[in-house]
Amino acid sequence: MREGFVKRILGIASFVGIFASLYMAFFYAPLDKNLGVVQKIFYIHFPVAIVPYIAFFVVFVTSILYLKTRDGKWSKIAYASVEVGLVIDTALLVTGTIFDKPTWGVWWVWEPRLTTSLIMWLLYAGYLMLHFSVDEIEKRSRLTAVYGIVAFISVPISFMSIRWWRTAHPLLITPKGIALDTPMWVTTLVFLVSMTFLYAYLLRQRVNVINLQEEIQDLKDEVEG
Amino acid sequence: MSYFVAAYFAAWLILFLYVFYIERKLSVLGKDLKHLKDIVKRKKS
Repeated sequence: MREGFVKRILGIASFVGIFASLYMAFFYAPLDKNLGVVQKIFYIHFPVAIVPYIAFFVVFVTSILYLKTRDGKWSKIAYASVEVGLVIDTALLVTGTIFDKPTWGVWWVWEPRLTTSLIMWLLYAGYLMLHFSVDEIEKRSRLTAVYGIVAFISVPISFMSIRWWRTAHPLLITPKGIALDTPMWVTTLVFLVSMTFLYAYLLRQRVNVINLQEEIQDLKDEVEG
Repeated sequence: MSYFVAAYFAAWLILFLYVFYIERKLSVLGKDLKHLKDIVKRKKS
């Protein structure tokens, strides 16, 4: 009962939120004087940049919790969060390269933010490779938990890269305030919240897939044995 | 304009393909589980 309710709420919130965000991005937020319609890529680019940070933070926390408690549920959440985070991170890299071309004139630049984002993507792709390369469940959970904690170092580095090094990547929050008009900033926030709901919904569904797979395996063993 | 369309199309394609994959997987696994439960029930009775 409660399971289905939470799933429905998360599903509806993501669906409604995303449609509201798209409406706001296309019709509510004003057109940028310099970049024109291309600037509207930002409204999708920003949430798909921030949500993977949240997903990988969840991996970091659940990995610590697994090592502390040895409870398999934390390991499942960590794996699911990596997978969902990586899918959203892929959307970040794709929208980023498409955004680069009209604004910087090139598809890709080896500047700090782009490079650290790619390294972060590769590190978490490595997490999945590690997960699939170990068969024994406990050993796999332990190794991926340690990896999940160590790989998290890439998140603050990627986030802070535009503050630590000279880069062409724009800074959204400056000491003078937010570098956006209010309607633009509100649209960005609504999009970010909606994308976070979508992440939470997908995380829950992915954990459900893992639980179902385990239940099916147990039943198969029972039938065969 | 084409960059704007390409960015939105690519992002939503990636996200909705994943949503579709997860929902499809859940539906298939749900059917498998029901089928296996029926087998176990018949085996026990």
